Amino acid sequence: MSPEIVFGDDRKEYLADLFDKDITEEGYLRDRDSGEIVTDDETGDYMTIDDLGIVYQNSEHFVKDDVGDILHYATEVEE
Amino acid sequence: MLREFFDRLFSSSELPSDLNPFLSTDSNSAENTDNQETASVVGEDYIIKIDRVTGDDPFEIDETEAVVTVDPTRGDWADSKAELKEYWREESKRAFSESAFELYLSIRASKGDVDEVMAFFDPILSPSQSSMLEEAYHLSKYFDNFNVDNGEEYERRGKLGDKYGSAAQNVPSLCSAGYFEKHGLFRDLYGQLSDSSTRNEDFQDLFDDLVRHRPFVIFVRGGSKLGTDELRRRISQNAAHLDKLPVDIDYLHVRGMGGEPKEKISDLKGRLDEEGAKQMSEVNRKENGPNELVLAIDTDSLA
Repeated sequence: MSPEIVFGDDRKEYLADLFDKDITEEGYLRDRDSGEIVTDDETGDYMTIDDLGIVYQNSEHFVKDDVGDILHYATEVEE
Repeated sequence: MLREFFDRLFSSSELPSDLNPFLSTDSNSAENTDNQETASVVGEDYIIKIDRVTGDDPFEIDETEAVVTVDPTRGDWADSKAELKEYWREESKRAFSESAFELYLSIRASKGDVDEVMAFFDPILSPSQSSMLEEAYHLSKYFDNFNVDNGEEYERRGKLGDKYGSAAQNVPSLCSAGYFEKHGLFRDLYGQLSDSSTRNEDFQDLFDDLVRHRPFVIFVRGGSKLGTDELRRRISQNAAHLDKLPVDIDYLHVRGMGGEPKEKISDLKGRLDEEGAKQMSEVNRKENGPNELVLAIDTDSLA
């Protein structure tokens, strides 16, 4: 079993950096290659660094730190 | 896998042997040198946390919580990042923020309990009401069972209110108090509605009214300015609301946790005793966290 990896709330910028995302002045996550703002996997909402909850599958998917989004991930994506 | 991760992040030559999490602290003994796997300090179930480390070592091991904390500001993050990315690619891994991880663990742990509640309510509520109740229920489990600070609880309640309307902010408290569980108030109320073609719609209207105004309960919070007079006034106001409902709710609850709320409820009980109101108090013992004092008032006996 692979270990879970958790980023402390004041080290979230390293999580963004790990997946080549910049943080705009407004706090949004922006892809360094495409320049596009990262969106929530389920709702499509723009995501800020404060919103960031889960990254999965080679950084292709981002989940907000919100009960509905995490519930969707745990029940619809993971299972 | 955990060992592989650390092998990538820190080559063994970079670390003194007594810092290697896969060696026992007595790593100079021949026994441990020959049998490093069985002498591991860190098990495969440990969590890797990327966070601040305050000591001199590049990482910290918390054996109680089973966490190895690695500080990205120590050493060369650029090199570590490349190793982490490669590991990620090969393992199709995922990563969590700290607060999201705890909520995720709570959701996984509480899924059976919440699913049991939703099996009753999902078919009879509107899709929006059902989603709101399910999310609120998971939040209540998270607040009850994890050590969530007041700031995070306030923020998560606020987000629920932003999504479903401000009344939703209070639903986790209703869930925590057991109003949606088997033999709880809301299931009883559904049973009271006549078995007509509009039964579910009638219940949905009732659900909205009860969640918005909560005439059946008053929560007394710590730091609240609610005095006995104001509490008594609200009881009359709520009792009048209950009288207008198409269902019977015999008791109005006043609930509080902690010294100050319990003291206020005791004062209120004294006032109601003087008025001759029928009431009874009980202690709702919680598995995690302080016990709750619940005063149940028979609204028919109010002056």
